[in-house]
Amino acid sequence: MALPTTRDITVSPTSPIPSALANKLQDMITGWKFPAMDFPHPACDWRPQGGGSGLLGDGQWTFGGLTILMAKIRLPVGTLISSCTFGYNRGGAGTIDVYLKKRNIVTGAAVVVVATSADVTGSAWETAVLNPAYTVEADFSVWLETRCSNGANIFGGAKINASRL
Amino acid sequence: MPLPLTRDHTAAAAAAVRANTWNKLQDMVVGAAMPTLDFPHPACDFEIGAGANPPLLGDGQWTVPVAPANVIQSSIVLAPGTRIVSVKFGYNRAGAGTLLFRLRKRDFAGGAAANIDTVSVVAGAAWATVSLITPYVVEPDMQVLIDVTLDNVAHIFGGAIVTVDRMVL
Repeated sequence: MALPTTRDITVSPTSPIPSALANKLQDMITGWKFPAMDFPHPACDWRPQGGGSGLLGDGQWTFGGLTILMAKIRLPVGTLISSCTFGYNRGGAGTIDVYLKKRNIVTGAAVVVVATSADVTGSAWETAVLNPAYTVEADFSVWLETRCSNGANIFGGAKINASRL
Repeated sequence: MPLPLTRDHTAAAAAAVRANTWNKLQDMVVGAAMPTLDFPHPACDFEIGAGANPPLLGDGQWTVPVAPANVIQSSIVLAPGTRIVSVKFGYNRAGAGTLLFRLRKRDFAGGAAANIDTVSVVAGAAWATVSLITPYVVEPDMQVLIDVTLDNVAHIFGGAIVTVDRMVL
């Protein structure tokens, strides 16, 4: 076993530190501080805004009409959100909007859309990808949102790709 | 680019390791174990507790259709040993009623619940923040949560920020 599971070697008290160990530690710190990671937001991580007509099923939401779903992002300040991928089936009807939004909870200023896209054409299971390159700011709430407008729509969840944790 | 983006320098085989690189590595390990981090708890991170008057989740904030509203709660999912140093809440009292903000815990094993820190807001008519600042180290077998009570239809709640300065991964 070696790093990162156990020590590569134990350096004795008066021995020089091997250069290979110093290089490996530098690489591990770099990878540790800046991993690119996917964070899933399954269907059960979402909640309807203002009620709506969404129904949480077995890993997906279905709808009776316009419904807004929101999912929290709890990544710490300084995290870089590279992409947000939403999985859904428009079912050939209505509009599915997806958003990354933020709001400053200290000032209470209006909600800001960081990134958004709309699908008005799809009829099979697919994904929509936002590439916001957004770094979570101090004092901001950040969340994902989707608006499904038709009873044919199905929403499965999302994932966030983030680094600089 | 230096650490932590890339290596500071590549130590050649059989060469001595530079002291400044070695010291920086130590500092970064300390910083990784003891960072000060802010974790946002957006409005949509809160769940509605039991009662007859559920508050209403809007576009990044909670409002109160019928007062007093059921309490709303948000879980703090941090490993035991993590130290919470503050919880900041964003709200608008709008000149009426009382808002109550709490940091609470409940023992899985014994089932007992207790306040860690609380604050009531009875003044203010504009958007503002209030913070709980009693440090708390997350204990084993303990659920930790924040909750908010809104008792007037004028109230708006926007979310919270949990700050930690000792992170256990």
